[in-house]
Amino acid sequence: MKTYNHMEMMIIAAARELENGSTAAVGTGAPCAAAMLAQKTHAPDLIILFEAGGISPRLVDMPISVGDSRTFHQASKAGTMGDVMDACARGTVDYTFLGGAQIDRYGNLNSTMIGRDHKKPKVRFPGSGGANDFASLCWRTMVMTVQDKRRFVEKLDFITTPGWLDGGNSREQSGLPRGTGPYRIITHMAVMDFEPVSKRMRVISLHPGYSFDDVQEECGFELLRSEIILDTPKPGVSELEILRKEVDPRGYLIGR
Amino acid sequence: MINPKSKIMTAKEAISRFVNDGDQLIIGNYTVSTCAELVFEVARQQKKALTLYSQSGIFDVEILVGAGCVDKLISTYVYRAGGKEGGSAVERSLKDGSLSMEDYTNFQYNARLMAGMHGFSFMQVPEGSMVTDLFKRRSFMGEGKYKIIRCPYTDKEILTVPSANPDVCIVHVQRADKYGNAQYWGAMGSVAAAALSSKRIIVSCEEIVDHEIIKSSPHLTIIPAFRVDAVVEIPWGAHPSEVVGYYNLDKVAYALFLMSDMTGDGLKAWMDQWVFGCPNRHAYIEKYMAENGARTIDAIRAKAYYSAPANYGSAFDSCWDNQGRERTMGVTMEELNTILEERGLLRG
Repeated sequence: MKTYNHMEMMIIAAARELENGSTAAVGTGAPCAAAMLAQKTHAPDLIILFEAGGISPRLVDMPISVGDSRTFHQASKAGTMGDVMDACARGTVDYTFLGGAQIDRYGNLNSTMIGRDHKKPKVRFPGSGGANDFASLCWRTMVMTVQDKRRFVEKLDFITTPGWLDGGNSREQSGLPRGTGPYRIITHMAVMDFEPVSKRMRVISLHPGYSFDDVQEECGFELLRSEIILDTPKPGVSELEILRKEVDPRGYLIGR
Repeated sequence: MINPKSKIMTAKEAISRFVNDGDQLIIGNYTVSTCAELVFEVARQQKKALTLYSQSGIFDVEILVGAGCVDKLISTYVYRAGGKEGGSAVERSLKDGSLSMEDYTNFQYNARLMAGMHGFSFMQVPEGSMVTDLFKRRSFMGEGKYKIIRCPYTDKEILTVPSANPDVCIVHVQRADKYGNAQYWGAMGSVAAAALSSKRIIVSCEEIVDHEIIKSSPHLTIIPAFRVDAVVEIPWGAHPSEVVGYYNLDKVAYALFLMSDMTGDGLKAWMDQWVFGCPNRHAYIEKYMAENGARTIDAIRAKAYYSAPANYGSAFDSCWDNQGRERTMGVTMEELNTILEERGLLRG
């Protein structure tokens, strides 16, 4: 029997990707929990940036909005949105974490709308916020989302945030900064990266209890397989304890 | 008669005097310290045909759209209650054609305000959006949403956005004086740019403080008095959002709003009760405490957590010490003249 749930696996797998001393621009929700968990475990010197201006806070409690007082509690700076965007534009931010309603094989994201006519959407989602900017300007974009074939689609209804665009070197040719781009897609079943030449999404690690076929079953396009697919180490006792007791004690994300 | 030196007035008077039908109205706050009471008052006065600017819309944008005040919306992020199965006033109004919306990214929206604040006509933004549908699919701004130009220095094609100079900004801050010097602290978002790019500014604040308080902490002032048209003292003026140093986000009130906002009828009923059913913020808070208990409000009052004061003292009040010596060079005026003369620097 599993002693952890989907969200806990995703947050723990994502936190492991952040190395100590790096910089990460995050929003609220699961990405923020992953950054907090990293900061409380292997990456105490992780510098976290929030788009409303909080830079390098000590995250003792989970922020609810990108501007709330937790995002600059004992921070180095309570600055402006311009300060944070400038840091990204000058190439000084290593990671960003995003979500999205739809993602395609090249890691392009839709967080704007579902439907054919964007002026009269079937479903209107929040929109870009800072997602387009972060994914354009930070070095490595990571996406956390549930593995679900309604989310992993052949074609997006609206491209909000650029990934590897049409694959190959199309991202660089479009004028986006060279060397930036989608890096990891972390779901409750697996971790994926992008094959270096085609830039197609590729499974590199499977979480305990899932096979490649399980992941493919919940994906609307054909996934590539890495030559070696790793077994994601299952959540450790201390990772789970810190996540439950210190990162999200009220169970906003991981449930009660 | 209006006191020419004081800009203090009620929200009712400020909105009635400085917000007109058809205006471009900008909500200055970004996700926190939302100028809730000023927004409520715009809805109560049934202002029409507004073009609304909001960096990130939450209940504020939902109320103004739900109240039928807004024809056009310019934003980067709008609220959605209840996830995919839920809904929002923005979504409902887009669907029935009563609202059109132009989507930008945070960087671009902020850049439009920065350009407006500087008095420029446009601002360069990262090119990344040119390959996305934010660039390709446009609404009421059409060709004028973005323009590509050739950089005169690098000869590269660059993406630009037009400047924004909204007619009026409504903004909530921690404190201001009666002249309108507005002090705000915390995550600054695009608050100052939103106000300073606008033609008129209505400031609401948790408290009006003595001018001396402002003078002792000038680094906290984000809007100087000479730019401000109206100052309104509104305790709890941003509830249910958070004001750093005053109160936290009210999760109970938010949850009640969220549940109501999923349908048009729900939002209307909520507004009848909390916006149209309360003549002002005082009445709103009284009603809120009567229905939910004073403890709900007490529970969200912020515990004090002070920043270290900034030392504005200078080392000297004169550059000459009591021996008549200039402090940095250590010489008297006579000695200085001698030195200058010896070097041939003294003329006439």
